[in-house]
Amino acid sequence: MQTVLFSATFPENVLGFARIFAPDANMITLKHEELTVEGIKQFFFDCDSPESKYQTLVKFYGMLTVNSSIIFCAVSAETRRGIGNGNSALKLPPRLRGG
Amino acid sequence: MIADGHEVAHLSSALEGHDRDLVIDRFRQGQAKVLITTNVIARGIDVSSVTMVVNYDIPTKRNGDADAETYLHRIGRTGRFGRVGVAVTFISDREQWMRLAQIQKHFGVEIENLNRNDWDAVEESVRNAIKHAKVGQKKRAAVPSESAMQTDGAAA
Repeated sequence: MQTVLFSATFPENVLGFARIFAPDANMITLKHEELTVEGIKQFFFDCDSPESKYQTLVKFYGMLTVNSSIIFCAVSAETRRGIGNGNSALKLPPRLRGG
Repeated sequence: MIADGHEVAHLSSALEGHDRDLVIDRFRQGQAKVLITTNVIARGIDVSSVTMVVNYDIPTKRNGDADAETYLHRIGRTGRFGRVGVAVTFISDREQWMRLAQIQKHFGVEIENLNRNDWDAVEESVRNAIKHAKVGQKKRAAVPSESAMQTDGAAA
């Protein structure tokens, strides 16, 4: 039987755990400096406040024509507040809304 | 965002498995162009047409440090199968700025600042990133035709 455990991003404690339950395993690891993905251009926006983040996001999307995109949010209390009583445009229905 | 005319899909852990699949299917088929989500599916989504990933909140561990692994998995949702993609992270305070610096150091990359007071420059930076992507694709596409020419030459 073979057990294969793989990820590009095991943190050190997971690697240590793997060494315990599979002491004689073949291990292939990468330096984390080598992990970053070629072909992905990385940017950031420096905003003043959570509100200016939203304004910047909307303006940015207004400027672009992209195929498909994913927006990742933390579900923090702050985000919930923002969705609850902040901008109505961010207040999304429970189900997706198509165009 | 819907009010601004964007076709948006929303995915959260509140949705059950079947509804989640429906949301992902609509996104995959291009009926919704923007997917807003938390980490729940950060590692599962594999939609080849995704050209941009936005970190509206910078990934953070419980201890307050940057979560570089999650960052990498998120931005890896774009640029699938050798395509080129763009990743944009939003920060709004000193702690988030520090986390961004941690991520740059962790991966040894430079993350470029987009100046939100100069939208012409923003547009140019993003366009350049996407254009370089297309040039790269053309180069790859040129390889088979070159080998076809060589084959023709050999036949002649």
